[in-house]
Amino acid sequence: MKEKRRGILPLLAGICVVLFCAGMCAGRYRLTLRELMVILASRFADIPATWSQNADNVVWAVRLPRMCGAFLVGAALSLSGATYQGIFQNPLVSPDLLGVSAGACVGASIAILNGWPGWMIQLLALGGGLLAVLLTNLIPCLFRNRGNLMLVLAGIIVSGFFTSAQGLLKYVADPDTQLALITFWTMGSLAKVGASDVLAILPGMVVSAGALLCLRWRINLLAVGEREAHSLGVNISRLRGVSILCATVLTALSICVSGTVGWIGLVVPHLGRLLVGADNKRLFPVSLLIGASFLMLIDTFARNLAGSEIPLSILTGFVGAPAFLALLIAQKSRL
Amino acid sequence: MAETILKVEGAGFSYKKGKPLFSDVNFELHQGEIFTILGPNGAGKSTLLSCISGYFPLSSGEVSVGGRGIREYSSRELARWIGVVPQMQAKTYDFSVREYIAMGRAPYLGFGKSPSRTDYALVDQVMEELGISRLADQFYTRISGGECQQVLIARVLVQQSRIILLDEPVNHLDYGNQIRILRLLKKLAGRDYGIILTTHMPDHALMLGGTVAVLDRQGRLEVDKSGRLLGEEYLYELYGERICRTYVEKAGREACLPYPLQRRESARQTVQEGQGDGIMLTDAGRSVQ
Repeated sequence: MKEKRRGILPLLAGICVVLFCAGMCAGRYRLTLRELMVILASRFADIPATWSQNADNVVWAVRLPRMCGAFLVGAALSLSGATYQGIFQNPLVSPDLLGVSAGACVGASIAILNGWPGWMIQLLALGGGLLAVLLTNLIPCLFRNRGNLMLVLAGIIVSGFFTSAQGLLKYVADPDTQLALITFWTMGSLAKVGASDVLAILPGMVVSAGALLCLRWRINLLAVGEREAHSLGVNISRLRGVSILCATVLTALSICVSGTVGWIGLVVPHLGRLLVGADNKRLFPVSLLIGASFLMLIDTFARNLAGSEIPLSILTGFVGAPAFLALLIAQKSRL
Repeated sequence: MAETILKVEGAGFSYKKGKPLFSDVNFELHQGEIFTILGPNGAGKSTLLSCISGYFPLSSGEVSVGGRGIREYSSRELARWIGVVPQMQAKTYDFSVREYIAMGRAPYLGFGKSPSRTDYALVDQVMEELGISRLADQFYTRISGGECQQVLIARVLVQQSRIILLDEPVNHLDYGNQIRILRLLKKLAGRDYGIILTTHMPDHALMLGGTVAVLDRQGRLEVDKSGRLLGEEYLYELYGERICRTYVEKAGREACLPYPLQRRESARQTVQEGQGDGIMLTDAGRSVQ
């Protein structure tokens, strides 16, 4: 089976490119593939302008940042999902296990309630997410118990607390303006992503994703259990710490540009495992590409299905939940 | 005498606030020696192994390998000395057997490195030696218990540690696989590995030869110097059951055998009546096929 599946990475990369181009062309302002190529190339080569300024704007100012955002967020969420599932030896874990989403929502809600501008919402979302995960990691220290289970329980405690805080903020929010904004934000959207947002999250994402990709074989060792990992000479707390940090940064950076988008981090690694097995050496790159493709596709639908934007989590849920069921059926013999 | 590679001195362990599980454990392991630890359930055999491998810190005393205390080693350095074959357990993810065995190379690889071609060559060579090459691309979750134990041993061989700890390596295996695993351990001892294992079967200790020790309910480890520990008297003390220690001529070895499950009277009847193919063991009062 190894030989048969060797070509899967190039195939997924190809799908990624196709979906990217499709997403760039589709929309209220329709473009042909040829137009798209010419407009994209025009920044690098001297091509006489045969297209309207409008088309140029749509490509460069609106769709390109948005598609890049979709690529980054999809890739980041699924990579951190795969990491979390590896670390916690549990395939039912998603990136918000340690409270990053709940914390980010609270941060964003605070900014919205105060009427702060978009970049402050992002900053507070990032801060809230990281703060929640930091708290989650501090609780096990109280008990001097650094086991996985303790960390998961701490995550439940912190998430629960931040969810209540979020509820309180929603309760006091102005129902006409602020509450709608908060709700929309917690369902995820890439509608407001601009080039500056993409450039802001890019360095952190590249560094974290690069680190995780380098560590991917070593994260396999965590998946066989702490005791065995120890006997293989793994410094468990260091490896787990670095991996959790990178995965959390990836998730928090995604959330701060797109709001919370559910399901991707849970379902995509499963699909990847079905394709290439549990070995992270192959699973991580495959998950990254599938996640990126999936969110580019979903976001294209979100823009085009209805007259107005559909929040991403609605679509990822409608696609993700049945897909998850189908995956469970497909791999039932292995669970 | 062969070189001493592992030394346990005054080792004691207690869980938080609990009474000590074992205390003042002393023994040495030499190159090529098989050290078998017997003992009743709950005596702390597994915990002792975990302490020797450095997973649990000792409450008192010290374990040293190669003349240095294990706490002076980094976890990576220690893993090059001591390899562990854990008790079989539930597996979450289906790694391929080859990939699973390759994990044994971890102590030799840098933080961000994956196994190289040379590492996989070693993996393939070890699988070849153990005769499990055919399993290479199968999923670790879908092979049988006996194969699983071989894969675990392959991983520890790839780890190239001089000391191998095995926690009840033949539990849950069928009879044939039990014997095959024991034979493999004997062979590894012949290749100068120092081996420490725990088992519930005194007979296995006899078959393996080497040194026998018993960790009793009081948490004392007694190392067999005079052959007393596998004697009938002590086995009765240890297990609360009469066990026959005898030389079985047909098998050509010493053996530990339980007496018949019925009372002695009916057992004697079997001795008188039984004239089948099995050899009669008048000591044990039952026939062995």
